[in-house]
Amino acid sequence: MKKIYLILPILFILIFIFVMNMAFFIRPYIKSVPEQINQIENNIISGNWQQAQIELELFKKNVNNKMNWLQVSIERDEMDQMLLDISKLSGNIRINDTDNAITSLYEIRYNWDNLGK
Amino acid sequence: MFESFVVFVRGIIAFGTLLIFARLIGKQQISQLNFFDYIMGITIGSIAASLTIDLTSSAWPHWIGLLTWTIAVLLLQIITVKSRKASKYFDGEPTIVIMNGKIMENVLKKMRYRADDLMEQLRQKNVFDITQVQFAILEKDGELSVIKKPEFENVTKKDLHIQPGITGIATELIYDGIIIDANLKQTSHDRTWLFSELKKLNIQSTDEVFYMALNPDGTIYTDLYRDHIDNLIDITDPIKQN
Repeated sequence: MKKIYLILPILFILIFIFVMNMAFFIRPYIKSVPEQINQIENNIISGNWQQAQIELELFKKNVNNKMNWLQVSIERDEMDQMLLDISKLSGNIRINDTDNAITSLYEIRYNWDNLGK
Repeated sequence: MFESFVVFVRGIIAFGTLLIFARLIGKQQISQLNFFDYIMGITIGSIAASLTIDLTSSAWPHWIGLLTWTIAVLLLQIITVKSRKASKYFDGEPTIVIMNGKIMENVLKKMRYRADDLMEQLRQKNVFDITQVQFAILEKDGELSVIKKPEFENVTKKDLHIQPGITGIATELIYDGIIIDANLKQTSHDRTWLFSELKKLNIQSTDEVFYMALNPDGTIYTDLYRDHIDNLIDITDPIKQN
């Protein structure tokens, strides 16, 4: 019984630490987001705007899904910035602006890589 | 971002962490609350509040702040327990403010402690006439300890050569209708004895008993759910009716 009193708080502390650093622990294992970024980049560079648009929609859904899980462990500004950059990318793909689309894409990649750090 | 959800989760983290850390810090925080302890309490509370609602930064740095302050408090506690010198330096020392019935003005001045404060604390100790005071000591936590002059001290049983009765702690036997067997065993009694005692008191079942305790002198205190009080005294303010 005494062991439970000792183990329980330690267990809770470990859970708290994990929840607070979920983005840090889990993000490296989420391969789908960087893969989608690469696919969108390739489509933009090759001028395949229609495919880039389709990939972007899938990317948005995926990011929103992942953000639901990671939101507890990240800053609100980090999340807002990421979503803003996705919006910018969406506009740039719509008007077929390669330079700005690539810039937005690199910002998204940077934000994702630094999420929860 | 579902802000409410994030605040809820972070609130649970802050609450749980505070609960665990407060247990680590121990009882000293409440029982010996000096000025520094007071500030520490506020700071730790403030960090926990930021951890809950400051969504502009992640929870982790706030939690590290909370951990740092808790470790600092623990370290300070360990140091002050191990070293008397450190204890005097960090926690201060008790100070005599009235010596042999004389107020130590220089001490009061040095401590920025007013005569009014002294009188107030004396009154809180039921001393309304300063001439009764032999010594008054201002403790580290700001409490005043008072020693009255012998002629103003209360008469004790020892002074009157009266044999004191048996004193001790009463043992709970029944709480909320449930028999506490461990306590019954501790008092070298069993359920048969308990039921016979209940019968003596004209109680049919333990369900009727809210509280029952065995006093050190062997007497039994019993409180039933039905107190049979006809005229209940109401001390609340009656609602004014126009």
